[in-house]
Amino acid sequence: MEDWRRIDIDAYDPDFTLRPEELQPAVPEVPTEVVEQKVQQARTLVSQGKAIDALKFLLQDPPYGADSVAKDIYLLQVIETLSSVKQSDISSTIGELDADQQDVLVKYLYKGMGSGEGRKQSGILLNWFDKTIEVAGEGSIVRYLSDKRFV
Amino acid sequence: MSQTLRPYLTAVRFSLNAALCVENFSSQIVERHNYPEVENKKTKEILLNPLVISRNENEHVLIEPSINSVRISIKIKQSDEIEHILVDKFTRFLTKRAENFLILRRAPIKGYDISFLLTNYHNEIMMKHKLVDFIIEFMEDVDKEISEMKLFLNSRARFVAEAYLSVFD
Repeated sequence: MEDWRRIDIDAYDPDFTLRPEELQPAVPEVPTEVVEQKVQQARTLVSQGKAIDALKFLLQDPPYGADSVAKDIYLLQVIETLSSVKQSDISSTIGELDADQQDVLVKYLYKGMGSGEGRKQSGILLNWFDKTIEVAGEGSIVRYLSDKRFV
Repeated sequence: MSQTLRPYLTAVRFSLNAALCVENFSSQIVERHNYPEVENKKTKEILLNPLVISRNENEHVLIEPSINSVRISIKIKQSDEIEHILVDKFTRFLTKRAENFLILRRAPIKGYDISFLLTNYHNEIMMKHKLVDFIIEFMEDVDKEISEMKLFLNSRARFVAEAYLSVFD
């Protein structure tokens, strides 16, 4: 047996520690097919030139309960949609989103910058990020920091 | 300032400003102790979501906030071997003097070149906006410094090579 002095006994005390599921609010589970369907729908909207509608559609009801593979597919579609909006339209697009959608957008921007795929598009993401904060303010960053529902 | 540097720095500034809402918080595990919670990570409910801001594939910042401390780790641009060595020497020079450099962390966290640890104590004795300004200025200057050192190093190497090889001319 390893050094028993180093065992963290507090970890075994049920009154003392919070379990991970207690910290995270319950989110309804989303099957992968539904996510793929939404991504497909958004892709069609983008190809019709309605990138703004696609963005609204994607940010309306993000799949908090999906598994990580499905979330990555969703993230890629969000990044693709963001990059298909014209540079000059970014501010007006953000203005059209409501407060909740702006918060979700901030979540996706941070997640995009943290993932390998999004890093290649950092320029676009940073541009969107700055414009979003101009509109939504720092509150949306604080809401990202404290929200335990992950996109 | 280049095209992507400005949005990068403003993004870091906003995120840091939002993350730096720290207050005094005693440990819930050990009585009369006061840890930077982001370092010991034992009390899960007071850690906030970490965030990454990246400028490109090899230049990014990681900010890990918690109730009484914020850890900022910076990955400095390294495009070739020389820059890699220079960054290593430069950060080592700084971290050796971490004692006098209140907010600097002695060792960077894995995958990053330099880390800062801001606690509620620093926030009380220093001004918040100055702290944020300092981090931003550091990020701005470190790139400049490294590329200057690289140029200097190259020109010196050329000079030395000429001086030595002139014997065989």
